Amino acid sequence: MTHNKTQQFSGWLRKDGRKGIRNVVIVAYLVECAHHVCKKIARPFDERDVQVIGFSGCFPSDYGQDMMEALCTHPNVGAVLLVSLGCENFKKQQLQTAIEASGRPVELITIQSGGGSLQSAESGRNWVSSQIKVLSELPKTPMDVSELVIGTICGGSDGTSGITGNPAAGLAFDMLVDSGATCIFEETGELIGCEHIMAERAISDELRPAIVSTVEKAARYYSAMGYGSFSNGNALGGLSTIEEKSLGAYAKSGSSPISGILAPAQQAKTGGLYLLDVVPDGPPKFGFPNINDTAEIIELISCGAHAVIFVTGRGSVVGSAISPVLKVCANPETYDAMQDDMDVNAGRILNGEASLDDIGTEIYDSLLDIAGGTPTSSEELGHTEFVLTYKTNGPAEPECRVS
Amino acid sequence: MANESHPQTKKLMRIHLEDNVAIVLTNLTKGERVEFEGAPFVAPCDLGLGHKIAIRAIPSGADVVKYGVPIGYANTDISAGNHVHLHNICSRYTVIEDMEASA
Repeated sequence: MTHNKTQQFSGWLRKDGRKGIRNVVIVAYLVECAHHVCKKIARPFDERDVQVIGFSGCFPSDYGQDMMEALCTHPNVGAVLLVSLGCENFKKQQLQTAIEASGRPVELITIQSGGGSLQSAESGRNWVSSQIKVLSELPKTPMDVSELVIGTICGGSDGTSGITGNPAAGLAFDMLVDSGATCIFEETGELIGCEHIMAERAISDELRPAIVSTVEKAARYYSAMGYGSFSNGNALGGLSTIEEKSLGAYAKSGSSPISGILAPAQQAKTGGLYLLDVVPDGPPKFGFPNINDTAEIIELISCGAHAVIFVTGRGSVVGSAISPVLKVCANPETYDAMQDDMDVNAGRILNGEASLDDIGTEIYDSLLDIAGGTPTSSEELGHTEFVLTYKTNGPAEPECRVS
Repeated sequence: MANESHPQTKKLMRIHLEDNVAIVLTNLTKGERVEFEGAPFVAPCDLGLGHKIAIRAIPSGADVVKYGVPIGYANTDISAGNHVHLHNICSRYTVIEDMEASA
């Protein structure tokens, strides 16, 4: 396939050496009780410049701590305002230290000692304003496609997802991997039934059984929970079993060799294709691994994804905090009904107006445009969804997981 | 998992040669006549884009094959032309609960 776009664009170089394609100020609540003040701080600013994320729970969570650290030091993030109520269990000093160590400006406001909601919101807005000015003056630096980390997810899937959008996203992934980029696909609970064909693509003998056992673990976990990752909309759209949904979802991964398995908040060390293991080890402890598409997108971003390809059939509207989400619509009827929310119309394949290669190339080209600063539809509409819940910390069988 | 080429007029698509189901590429109304590889089929009910019909008889217990891979098994005898969905296919993994019993 020919790549007709230039492979170069410009991004922002962070002091830790990572390069971002967005330049966001994060306002982060460290318990739900500080969420409202964060919203008040962010409200006067454009959603593309200032975004609210956070961890709601007041009980300690190693997973929540690791995720917040990975997200606050993401390459698309330029500065972070932490907002604490004051009495929560979150290890805020530890998070602040980690952000400082990454070279990003960070400020901590504690509402209980900062004069309450009004004063905290005002001092927060002042700090954010000053940081926006600093970030807007940062020089941009050349960036290559090989430096990109791209995630992929499908949501609101139907019978078209597996024949148009997902295989087209897979072709774009193949082009990205060929260009040296890092690509991450996920939701092992939606790869049930594909474990053996997937394992054949493992880059090493050690990785093969690890892929199979990762999916088997997901099947056990969902089985114990009593529900598979399958929605009413999937059935209305013609999908009948988790295997069928999985095979369609699996097509997103393309055909490149699989280089390793990542845990949430873990970065790949080299380019290539990686499977994100979203299911905790052991018996279910805190509930469903990811309660919705946004929780999955946030885990992809925690692994460093600069942007995420989202293939939808029924019509998802979500974007995300931190990284742009490129919406690929698999179903031509959905595209006609929801054009403003979509970036790529993969349903044209069904109408005979485009080939899989055409749409794969369009996804790849669109990603390069987005990397160069062009906003996605969900960015234009101000979508900055964020979900982070409790989970057991990532798996601990290191050798074969990341190469 | 290669896709066949499919001109615009085609209303049913088989993804893999070994598949015993085809995908409906456009909304079909009950009784509508469609053709697949020369064989006539009549839509057994209103069928939305993305749904499946059997292009061969699938006996109870046999695999339902799409993408050239089993996506579950028939839990009843399925005749050629029947809608293949939650009512006559079972997962070999997680059983799907029909949340609104509408499909």
